[in-house]
Amino acid sequence: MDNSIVKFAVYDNTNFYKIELSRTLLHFTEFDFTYFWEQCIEAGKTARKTGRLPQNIVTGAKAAVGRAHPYIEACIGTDYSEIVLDCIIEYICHSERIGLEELWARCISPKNPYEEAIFRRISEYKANRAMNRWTSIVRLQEYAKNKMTFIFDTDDIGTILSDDTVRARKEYFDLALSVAANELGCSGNLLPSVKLLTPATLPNSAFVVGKVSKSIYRRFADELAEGRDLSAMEKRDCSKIRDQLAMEAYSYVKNMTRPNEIEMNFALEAIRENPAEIYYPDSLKAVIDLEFELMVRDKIYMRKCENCGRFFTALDDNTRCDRVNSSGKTCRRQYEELVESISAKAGGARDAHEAIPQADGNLSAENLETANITEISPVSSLIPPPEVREPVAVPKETEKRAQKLYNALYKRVNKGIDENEFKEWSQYLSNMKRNLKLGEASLKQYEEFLDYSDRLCKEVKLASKNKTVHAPVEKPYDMSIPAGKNGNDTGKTETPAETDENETANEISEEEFVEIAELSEKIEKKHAEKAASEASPKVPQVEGTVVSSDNVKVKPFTPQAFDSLYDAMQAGNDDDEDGDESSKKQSKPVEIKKPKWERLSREEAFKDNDKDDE
Amino acid sequence: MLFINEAAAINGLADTIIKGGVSLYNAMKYIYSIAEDDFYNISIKDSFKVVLNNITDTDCLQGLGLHIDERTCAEMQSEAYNHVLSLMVYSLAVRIPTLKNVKINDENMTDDQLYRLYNAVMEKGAENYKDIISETFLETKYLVRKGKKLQPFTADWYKTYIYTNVPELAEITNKNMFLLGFADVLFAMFYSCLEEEIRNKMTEYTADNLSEVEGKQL
Repeated sequence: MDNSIVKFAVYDNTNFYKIELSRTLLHFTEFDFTYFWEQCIEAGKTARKTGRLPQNIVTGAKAAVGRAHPYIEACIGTDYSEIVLDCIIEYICHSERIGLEELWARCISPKNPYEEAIFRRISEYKANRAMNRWTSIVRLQEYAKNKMTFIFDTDDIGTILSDDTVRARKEYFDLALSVAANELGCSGNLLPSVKLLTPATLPNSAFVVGKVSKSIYRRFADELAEGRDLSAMEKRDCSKIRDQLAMEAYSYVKNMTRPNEIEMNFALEAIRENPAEIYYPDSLKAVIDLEFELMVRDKIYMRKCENCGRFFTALDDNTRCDRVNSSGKTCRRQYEELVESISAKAGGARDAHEAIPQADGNLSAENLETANITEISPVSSLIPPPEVREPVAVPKETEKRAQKLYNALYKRVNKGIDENEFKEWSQYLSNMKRNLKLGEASLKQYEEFLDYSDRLCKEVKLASKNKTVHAPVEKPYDMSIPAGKNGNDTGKTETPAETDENETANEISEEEFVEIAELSEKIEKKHAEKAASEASPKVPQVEGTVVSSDNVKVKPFTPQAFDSLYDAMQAGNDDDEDGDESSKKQSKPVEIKKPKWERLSREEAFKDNDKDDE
Repeated sequence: MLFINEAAAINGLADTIIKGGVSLYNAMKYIYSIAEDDFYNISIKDSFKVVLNNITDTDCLQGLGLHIDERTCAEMQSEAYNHVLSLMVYSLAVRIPTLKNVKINDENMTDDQLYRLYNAVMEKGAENYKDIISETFLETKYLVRKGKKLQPFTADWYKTYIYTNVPELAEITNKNMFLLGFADVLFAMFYSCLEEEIRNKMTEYTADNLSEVEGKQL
């Protein structure tokens, strides 16, 4: 059996559930409850009008929250059966700024089943028969995140933690909670815990291993029929007489002999299907703690991704995760490509550095005046001017149209459009809006997307009426990877025109690019002249001078030297954003940052070069 | 007092009194079940709030998660205790003459109306079993006419009946003592709230929208 998977069972449920060590935890800590929350609010609004909770929405919301963690899924019919109501109660208290007591008093004479349900649920809170499961999940998510950070986060990037350190951190964290609970007067046996059992020793084992249990019962049915009824003990505190109860039950089967071979083989087959060990947690926190414990035991550690800052399972020494980010690539792959690109460019830059003194020999002012700029073109090509992008103004009508489409599709989630499909669509819409603001997408592209959305909406409406799933609308472009800033090779949002209608799309993007390039050149010239006049009236433009946007300061070119791979990568980022047309098309989608250069005096700038020459 | 539909009004008021009696009877059972499992879990103050806010809702305490069953109320499952229900309704019925003091639009109920209301309640099952309750309708009527103060509505007759007829509840146990202590407080407060409820009902029945009220009540 895979060591990274353990199984657990819960009260009142005969199924076994899986925990994939570290994966389940990561999934839970990163789970987005927004959809569940929205569904609950929707259910609450409907219930306020109709007087009862809409069961279809409640069922959908429960299914959504069940996906957060296997334990929630296992207990969705028991402990978490009222989670939607819990969420509504929390929402009412939060939005109306009232306490539970006030809400309880409001519903003390309920006028409809909805109010009665709220009153009943709050009464359960008050009587310690239940807790607000929704707030509990939210708090436990935060708990899991904090514990993960406490144990696995490091101050220095790339530090590998020793086994002892990880264990010590985990123990320290758990001990802190125990100390706090103890000081508050809460004894340890009240806190969540996990038992390690076998299928035969589970509290509901007679149902879990049902076939074998039946055959055993048949053997002792007569004796058991005359046995003393112990069910009354269920309600009493029997912690001190457990052995006595066990022996009383055993007394009815103590004369048991081994069954015949056929029956034993039958039992063997049935038992073989079940796992040898079953964990039996009594709460969600217990499962979370169990996962941490088993991760430490099996040395399955987490690490923070240097790129996206999120934790991931550390399977090797890599410091970047395998999550697909907005670029459509994993952080690891993105980094690898970046390193390759930087290595290549760094080689080119060194060549260029060597070429400059060979061309000029002496970097005096006279030489600089007459310097042939074409000689340094390979270097300048590595550091192109940044693109200037203006935000695209979206007309109000278009905005309204997008909003209408969103509302129409949102209403029909799970009624004609799949939830995931809707999420994908809405993600694309938000990316498109963001890119418009950044000037990375055009209005035409946005409208094309809305046209597509219109067609989709019509299909969904039709499917909703027929109570079927809508027929797939032909996507004019690939929506599988949500586009974002630098989300594709050109750094622009991928639109219908850019995929299927390649020719048209290419014309548009080239035109835009030419415009941007021209604008950049103008700015470059303007600043180069200004910088040259400020530095020295005799020096019109220094070789290798890099001019970019308004706030960028000027310094003479110095060949890049990298102390480490990290430095190279950082430098590579700058290179990418400034790349020329060809390099831009091949560039990796990295975050654009303006270079932070300082203006140096001429003496300061050439001091090092002069020394080198000497 | 001029009701738009007098028969309906008398019937509705009788219904309110009967429901009040049943509600009080059930409340005692629910409270008794608290002592079984939830003594430290359920606030007794909350129980009061719920009962007194739902005078005519006979199972309102279910909302607090309480249940009446063989296990939690075993001592109340006897035939003798079942007579408490008719006694409770009777204890309220004999106080009907006090409604004479309720004035709506400067009018109060006539003796005839009060007597018809009393009869309607008695017909629905009120009974002074073993003459446990010393008060009578005529006695109360006399005191009201003379303007004298009535004895407060207490649980004395209830306790007397328990001690003499329900030995399971008369035994000195934690549960039984809790029940009797609770009864002392609840009876007085309950009666006060029931008076208020009946007054509201009377106001409804004298209002113009009687037809709506009839639809709800009958």
